[in-house]
Amino acid sequence: MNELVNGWQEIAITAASLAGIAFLAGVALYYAAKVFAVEEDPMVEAIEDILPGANCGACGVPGCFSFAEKVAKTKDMSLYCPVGGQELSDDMADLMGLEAVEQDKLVARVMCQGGNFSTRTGQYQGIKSCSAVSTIHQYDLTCPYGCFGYGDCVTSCDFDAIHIINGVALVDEEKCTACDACVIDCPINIIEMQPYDKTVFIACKSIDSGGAVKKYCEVGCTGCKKCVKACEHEAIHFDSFLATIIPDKCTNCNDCVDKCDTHTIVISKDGIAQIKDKLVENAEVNV
Amino acid sequence: MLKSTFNLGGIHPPENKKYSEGKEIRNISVPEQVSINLNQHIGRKAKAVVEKKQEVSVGDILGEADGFISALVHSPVSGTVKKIEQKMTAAGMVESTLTIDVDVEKTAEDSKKYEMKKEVDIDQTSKEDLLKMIQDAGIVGQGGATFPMHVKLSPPPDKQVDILILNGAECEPYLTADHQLMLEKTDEILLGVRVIQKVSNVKQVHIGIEENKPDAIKLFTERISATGIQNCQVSALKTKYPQGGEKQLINAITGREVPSGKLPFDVGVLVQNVGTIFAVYEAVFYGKPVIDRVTTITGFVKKPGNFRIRMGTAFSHAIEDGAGGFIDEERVRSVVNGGPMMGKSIRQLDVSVMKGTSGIVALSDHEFVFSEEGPCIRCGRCIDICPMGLMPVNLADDTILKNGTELLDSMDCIECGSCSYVCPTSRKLVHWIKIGKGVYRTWKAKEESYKTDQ
Repeated sequence: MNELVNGWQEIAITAASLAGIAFLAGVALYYAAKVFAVEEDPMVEAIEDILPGANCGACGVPGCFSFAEKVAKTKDMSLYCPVGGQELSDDMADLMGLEAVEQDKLVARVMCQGGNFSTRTGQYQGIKSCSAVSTIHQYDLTCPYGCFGYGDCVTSCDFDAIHIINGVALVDEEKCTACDACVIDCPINIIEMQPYDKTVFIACKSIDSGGAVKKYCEVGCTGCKKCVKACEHEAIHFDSFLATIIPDKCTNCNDCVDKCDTHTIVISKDGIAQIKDKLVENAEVNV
Repeated sequence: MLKSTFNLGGIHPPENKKYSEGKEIRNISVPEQVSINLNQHIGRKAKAVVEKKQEVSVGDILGEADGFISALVHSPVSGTVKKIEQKMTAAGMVESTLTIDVDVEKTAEDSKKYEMKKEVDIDQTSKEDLLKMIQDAGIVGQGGATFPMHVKLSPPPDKQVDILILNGAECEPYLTADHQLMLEKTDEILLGVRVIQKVSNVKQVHIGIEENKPDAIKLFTERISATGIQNCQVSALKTKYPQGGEKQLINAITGREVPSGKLPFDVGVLVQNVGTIFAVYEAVFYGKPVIDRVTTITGFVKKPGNFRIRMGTAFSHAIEDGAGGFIDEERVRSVVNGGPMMGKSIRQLDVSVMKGTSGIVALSDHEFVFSEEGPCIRCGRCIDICPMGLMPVNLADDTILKNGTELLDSMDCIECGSCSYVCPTSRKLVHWIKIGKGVYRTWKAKEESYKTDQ
């Protein structure tokens, strides 16, 4: 019986002393929290809540939290999250009670649609990756400027917005967030950032003469200058057998698109795939 | 005689030199059109100094050296410049290229000026004059690395070079051009050696020849004692690939080891290919710039052999005219620029011969076997044979993971191809390491930019 009583006493002492320590620690922590309190901007948390949370780094800072911090600190509304887009910029401006800055939505565009429309010489049997191909300069595409089509950009895309179709990379512009990952990973710089609104672009980078291009690619720019003549807005720049559209001057009138015999000028809204289908149909008819 | 070799790794691939071994050096006819690349050497590419439709004759300067680490490009033919365009070179790069329509008769006539031997007394000519002659001839290393010769001969003043090694190892399978050149032009090469002795003040000259060329070893030993050339000896080497690698050859002959990231002159050695030395001889005694070179055309061709080819000759012309064409065009699987171990397979036959083209090897479906890359089975054979003491398997894995921090070693890789050769599952190890070098450079640049930001 004695042992039992002693037992209860021991438990009581332990419980009491632990409770005492807990109370003291609680008091100490309470005062420590008061004394060493860090002033945190509630805005950071609020902004982080509305960010997409992709942590892709497309905005230029590492991760969404750092971006939220930067926005809250600088109150600079021209900071732009390409994943969230204009909608997010508006929301952020509302939250902070500031004016939103209009931003152009950008998309990545592959400036080549050669792929299966382009001839190939030799047979590449090395590692199936674009960076591997570009380190040894041994590839099977005849065009020295075109997309290899081994898909380094596909692996780099976090948003499933780029795929290899018909042997060439194709961007799904609705999914593209302009995070720049594919632009950085492309060893031949065939992917460019362009404004989403300007739907017309010239998908070729070959600066070879027209005759040379015709030999190796059905859809390459031959430098015929028909588009330059057709454009009323002087929006087409022409240099060394290659036409390029200046987005600032382009009005989406699509005059040049019909004039282009090789279908090098494409309307992104139509989808490049459709134009390719057309070409395939034509080819079948000819056969 | 004690035969030495390098101490780490090495392999013994089948030599296959029998096709062209001992075949006399023959000239290949001048083609109707040549295309001269302006980037035939390491360093800055040459600047074109001629214009379209301009008449040029043999030996005229087409491209001027742009900076110190660069070399002149001379016209190998007489004719008219047809166009200057971007064209694919034998190395696979797209470079600015001059296409020249050749006047065959005039070329033959103009070439005669290089057949007259000048009386040059090496002892009386000053060091600077000799160096000037070498620089004006546009000589670059003909072993394959194409490093401008005059840069190699003028090391920084604090580096003393005391040994010259003549690289006659020719360890690449199939190739016999250097071997044949050594047999035919022994005295000329020894005169070239004397020029280099004078220019760079070396105390000792070693001529490194692998023991699979006993006739060359014998001939050189005889001629050295006959001509009474000072401080020069033949070093016979055990046959092992890659003996002809600069760092391996230095290790085999002198026992010195070139530290990581350093050049041979850091250990006081100068290595020159025999072909380069012969070009030096021609430049000094004939005033002849590099307008042709000796190249082996071998493998699956009708008449394999060693040929003197003018720069800018298309591979197709060289194979048709010199080697009599392919045995069976249907069965050709690959035509390699260089030797089969380190050379690159070319995509089309209209690329032209450059200063660094040491061989043209056609491989048939029997010789060229392609197998898909398998998984690593951790056998460690690549580590055993790596002549640089690297771990190719780890470097390849780090490249796949884009692990820049671990890839410093990849910069020491000499890309000899031994690891890919021994891999039982056909992993493309050298290719991965080549990519790894790029990954490391990007990572390094990023690190440095962070540092400067802070």
